[in-house]
Amino acid sequence: MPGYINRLQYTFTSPGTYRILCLEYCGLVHHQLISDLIVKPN
Amino acid sequence: MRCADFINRRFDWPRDVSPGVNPCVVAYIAVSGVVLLLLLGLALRLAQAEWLPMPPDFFYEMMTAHGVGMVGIAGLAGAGIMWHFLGRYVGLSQGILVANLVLFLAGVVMILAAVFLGGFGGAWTFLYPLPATSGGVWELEAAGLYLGGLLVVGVGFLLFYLDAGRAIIAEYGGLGAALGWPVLIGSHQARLPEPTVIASTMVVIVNTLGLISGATVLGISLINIARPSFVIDPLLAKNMTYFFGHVFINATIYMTVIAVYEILPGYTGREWRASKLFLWGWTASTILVLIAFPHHLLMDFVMPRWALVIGQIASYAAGLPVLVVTAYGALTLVYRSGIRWDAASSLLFLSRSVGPPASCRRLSTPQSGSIWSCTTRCGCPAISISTCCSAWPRWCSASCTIWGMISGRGRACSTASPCGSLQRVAWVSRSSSCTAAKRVCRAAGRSTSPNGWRTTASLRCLDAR
Repeated sequence: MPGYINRLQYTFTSPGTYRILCLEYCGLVHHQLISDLIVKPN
Repeated sequence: MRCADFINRRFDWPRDVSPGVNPCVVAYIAVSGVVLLLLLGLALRLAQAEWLPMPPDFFYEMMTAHGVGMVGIAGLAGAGIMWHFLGRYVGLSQGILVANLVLFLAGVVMILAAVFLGGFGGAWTFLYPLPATSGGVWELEAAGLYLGGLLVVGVGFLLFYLDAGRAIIAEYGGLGAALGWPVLIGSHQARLPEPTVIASTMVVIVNTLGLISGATVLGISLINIARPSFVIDPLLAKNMTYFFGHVFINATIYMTVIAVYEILPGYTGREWRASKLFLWGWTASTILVLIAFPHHLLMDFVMPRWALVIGQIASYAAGLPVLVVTAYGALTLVYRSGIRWDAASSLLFLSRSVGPPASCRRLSTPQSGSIWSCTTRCGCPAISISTCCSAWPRWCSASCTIWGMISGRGRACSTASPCGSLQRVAWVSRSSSCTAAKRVCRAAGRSTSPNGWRTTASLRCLDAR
């Protein structure tokens, strides 16, 4: 969403590698906009 | 030239063997069926499963064509059903029916050219400002052609619903009256609208608003392509787009349920009258469909929380009122009616409730002995071919005539009349049904109609012997 920043707070309850996907169809590389979020134990 | 005349001349459509079925309505359904057979969705699923090699740019082009195609043809088929049945109660414009189909096909050509020749892959949602910011994947001309094609389709549909609204207001005095609001507030003199009119009114209200919203955002996007300095808030544009998209695709459901209200009574020999609960249900669904669209923006946390909450609740609740009153009505109509289940009646029944598998219902009356009541569209007394009536009206009508010759009844007549169920009652209660039907129609004051085709086709009685 151009011009806007979507902020989300979430507390993970278990460690692991979580996948972040692009939520809005944004063009031909939409399916490649993938990232990983690694949650490590304290 | 009227659409019927044009198609009859061009394709030698045999009017006499398909009385009451407007060829333009058949064209609406046929176009929808052809588009469905393209099976783009299947190809996309095969590509996702990596069974069908498909490069990303072609995948998104196919996805765009599939998305806009499914929404468009569902709307077109629904509009054909609505026009066919609503035309029994109000005087709809044949010219607008044709104009919508022509604009639809012209828009489809523009959209297909933009997608498969211009490489536009911005999805049916055409979310601002994506059409103008492809990063060189597609040209601005392709984006403009796509948005322009969609605008042409939208304008056609807007004309269609405005004409339906005009006709309803002319007959019932207002959209509120056609939703039965005077009845709801207890007016004893108020006219109770027919279920088909109520459903059509709901669709007219929501789709007119939705199409205006969609046309507006399309126009803004087109200006943005031509003049990049002209901008709009992307969140507002997304709201407008999804308001249009949500309402339009929802309206297809509410247009097609009209077929249940009109055809199931033909099977059961019982009239579907709107109750107060029925009126409340349709009014509630009208409001809920209009406010449910924010559930498409749940990933946009910048949206006001109240809007997302309302949208989520409304999305679950929107279909319930109409579902409940229609399922209840269908059950009461079918219960102990003697209905025989066949493919057509079963699918109609299943579309709104749950029940066993039917054909035409056999009726016994003192006047006529045993006769068969078919669908109200074909309405041939003396034969049980309801499935064919729905799917192949030509065959149905020919069979009616043949049956009339064999049985000695010698009479076949269409029930697709301006007086709707009134004529059906007349039909099944007397063997001299055509005469009786005409009498009832005249008594109802609807024996004449501004739509010449409907009048001449539906009230024609054919002496088979």
